[in-house]
Amino acid sequence: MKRILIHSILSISLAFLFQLFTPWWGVVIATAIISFIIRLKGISVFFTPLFSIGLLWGIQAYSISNANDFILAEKIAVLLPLNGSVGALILVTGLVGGIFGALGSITGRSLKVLVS
Amino acid sequence: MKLIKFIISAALTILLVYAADRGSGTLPPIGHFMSPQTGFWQNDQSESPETKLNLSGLQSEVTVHYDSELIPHVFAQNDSDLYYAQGYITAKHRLWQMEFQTYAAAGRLSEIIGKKAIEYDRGQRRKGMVFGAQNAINEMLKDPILTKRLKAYSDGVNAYIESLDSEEYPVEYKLLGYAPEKWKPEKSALLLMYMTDMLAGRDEDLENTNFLSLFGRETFDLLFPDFIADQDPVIPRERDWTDFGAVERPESPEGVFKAIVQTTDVLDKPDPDNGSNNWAVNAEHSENGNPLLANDPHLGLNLPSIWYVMQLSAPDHNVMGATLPGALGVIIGFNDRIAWGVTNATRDVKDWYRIEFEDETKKRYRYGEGWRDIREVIETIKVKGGQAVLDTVRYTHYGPITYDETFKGNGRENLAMKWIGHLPNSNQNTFLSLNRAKNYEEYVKAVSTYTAPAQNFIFASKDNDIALWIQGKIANKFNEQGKFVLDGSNPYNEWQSFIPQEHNPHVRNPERGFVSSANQHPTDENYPYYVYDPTYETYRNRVINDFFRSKKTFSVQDFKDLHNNNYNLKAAEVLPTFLSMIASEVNSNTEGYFTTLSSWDYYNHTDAIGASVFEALWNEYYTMVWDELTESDLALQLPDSYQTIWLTKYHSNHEFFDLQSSSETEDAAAIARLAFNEAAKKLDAFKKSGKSLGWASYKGTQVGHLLQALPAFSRFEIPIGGNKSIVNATSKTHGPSWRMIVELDSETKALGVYPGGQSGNPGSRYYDSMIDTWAAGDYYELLYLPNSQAISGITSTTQLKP
Repeated sequence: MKRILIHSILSISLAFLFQLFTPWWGVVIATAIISFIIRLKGISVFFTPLFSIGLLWGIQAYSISNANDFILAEKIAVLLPLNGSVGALILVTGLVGGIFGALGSITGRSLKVLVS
Repeated sequence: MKLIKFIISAALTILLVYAADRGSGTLPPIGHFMSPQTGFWQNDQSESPETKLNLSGLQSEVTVHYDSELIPHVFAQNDSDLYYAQGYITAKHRLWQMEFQTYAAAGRLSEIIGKKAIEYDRGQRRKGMVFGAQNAINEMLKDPILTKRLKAYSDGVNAYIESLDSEEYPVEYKLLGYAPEKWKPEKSALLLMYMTDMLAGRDEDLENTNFLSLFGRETFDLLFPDFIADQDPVIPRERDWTDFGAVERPESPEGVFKAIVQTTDVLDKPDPDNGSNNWAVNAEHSENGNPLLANDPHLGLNLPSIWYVMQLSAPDHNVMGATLPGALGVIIGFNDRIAWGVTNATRDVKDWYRIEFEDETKKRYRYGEGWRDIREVIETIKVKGGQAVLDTVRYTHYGPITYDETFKGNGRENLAMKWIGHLPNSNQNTFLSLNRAKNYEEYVKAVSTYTAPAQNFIFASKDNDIALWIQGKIANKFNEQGKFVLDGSNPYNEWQSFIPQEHNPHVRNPERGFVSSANQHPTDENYPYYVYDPTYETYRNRVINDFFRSKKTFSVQDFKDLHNNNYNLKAAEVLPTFLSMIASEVNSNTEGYFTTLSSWDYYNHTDAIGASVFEALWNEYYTMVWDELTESDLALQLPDSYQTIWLTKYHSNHEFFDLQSSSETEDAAAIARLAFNEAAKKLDAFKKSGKSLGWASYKGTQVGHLLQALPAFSRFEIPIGGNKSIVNATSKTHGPSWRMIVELDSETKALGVYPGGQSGNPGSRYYDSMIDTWAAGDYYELLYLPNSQAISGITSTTQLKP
């Protein structure tokens, strides 16, 4: 459990840092690196970054949009279409980020297994 | 096994990242688009202008004040800096729209929205949109001052584009997965072509030719007359034209000059309601003793709005008003001496010539006794996510062959377009000169070189001049030249000359004390040149002019009331006739509607149910009357409302009233009764949907995003009255796109509003911030600052430093 927590904190931090100067898929590299270093077991290789990167994207999305009264978020939630629900839009955003974080994590882990 | 696991997971990851980074088909690039760091979330913010910006392209410092509606007030120390700043600031708030409209003009939409736009793009290329823009820019670049200004504007736009990281792109770029390209002066010419096409791109020559071949001359003249008795022309009827002397006008040719061509498929046309109102009164007719001027151009209601309001100030002038993102200067506005406005002065400035080729190589075409060479242009239409499409467009000396066996028409014949929009011009200069004009003489000089789209340029000055020039370059045609498809092999069918500019109809300080225009006939039939257009408006002008004849003096409040006037003259002229036709056969289903209609006062106010019932009845009636035309295989235009009503009143037994689908023989009254029963069913159904039958609800005015009215970025169910043919010309998707009232007091005062907002960003509170004010019939007092030090009413300031 402690390992999962450390993994989460580190991948959130690294993903946050990477995003400042990489394209959006910097999160994939970030979780790959962390999973290469920190060994997670079983399904947690997938689910830990799913939640941690999902949390990162969700919080970032919420805080940007909140400062503008969710004007655009409400419109995009009609476009996608999510019935205008900003909550659902933030959830989907987190899910997209989380899935790519998870993919990076699996790749990083399998590389570690391959080289060790 | 370990290796396979790694390869599979790495490959899958890379593949999905690639897909989510690029998007496919209609899917946005989901990873890029959803990321809080790069995607749409970054656009979820309203403008908070920087206090300082370094722009190396400037020569001196420029001050930009913003007011509470995000209207920029630009103070530059020289011309180049002024237009550089205009380019920069406009791009900052409207970049995506500027690019999109010029892509649309140039027939390049397939590049950004894919293969569904190919036919549209082919049409744009075949209309010669780029050809016209190229001719215009070549002419403009001959003028060193204009060249410098165009380049400055372009540099300003590019300075903004270059300052952007991809996460800062407007949200539409992210949605469609593309990036802005460099701006060029050619793009300003393309934007002006976009306007020319919108306002002078309509003609009905092919439909007229079809009608003539189906129904004959007599019926054509009955339904499509050149002039009508009720017309109240732009130039008052009192004007006699004897001072022109004997004008030169080509003789009508002997024999057949028309080509008999039947066509089934024609290009989409601009909205026939594209038009406007303007009016002005002089000091003697103004309550405050100051000349007053008003304008409201009626265009498609879109977001981002077609207009962007700015104040532009340099040492030699200080102008404010509505600009077109992509073009320089102010298009409709005022300065400290004058005010001006425009309405469309529609004329038949697009004609069609049937072309006969020497042989199937299509290298030469017949002209007079000999043959002329074709110039072939191969158009390459790039398509997002697909193969580029090549299209060969052949140019004659008239213009491009739009219709041929590969494109619409009748799949056989070659029809070349002659269009005023293709001619070299410096129309941009007209506006830049108007921005600086101080009096009547400078106004006349500014408009005199203007070619297209022809406009009713209304003018008022502090010298107490009011005037209106109907200005455009108009071919001096023989009678009915270009009303039908012409034989391109006969040189006599050419546009032989143009009406001398000084003979363009105009009026200065008329005795009646006001000038006005509303897209009606420019003159009465005594004007010595041939005047024709199929879309002259017949109602708004009469309401406006009657109002100005109704009393001696007028106030700003009167002007506001007239902008918002919902009187439906069309209904007033036909409804009594309808009611007497229907009265005998009202039944229990229609009784309620009949009562509503009988007591309606002809005003299309927001809550008027009578207006909704009338509209439903009129639509059914109009469709039933012209069923012969809509059911024909050939492309045809329907007679307008005015002529339909005239026929109803004076030829109620005309064979057109007979319904094709029934065995009986109907007259106008029978059709009115059938239409009323149908209308009642439609109204019942509407009511069942739970909506109110009040006019605003029934009409459902909307302001749609430029990208196919993307619902998420559009506004619906806007509570506003009016309709087409009403002075408040707001229909479902079309209406007053900018309302301006100027009072030329010692300090110029002005009011303005438009159905949109200053920001093009759907995430900004300024995206649609003026719509509710506009719908309510209210205005903003435009903050016309005398100089850069005046800061009362300013909410923020950006210093642009070199």
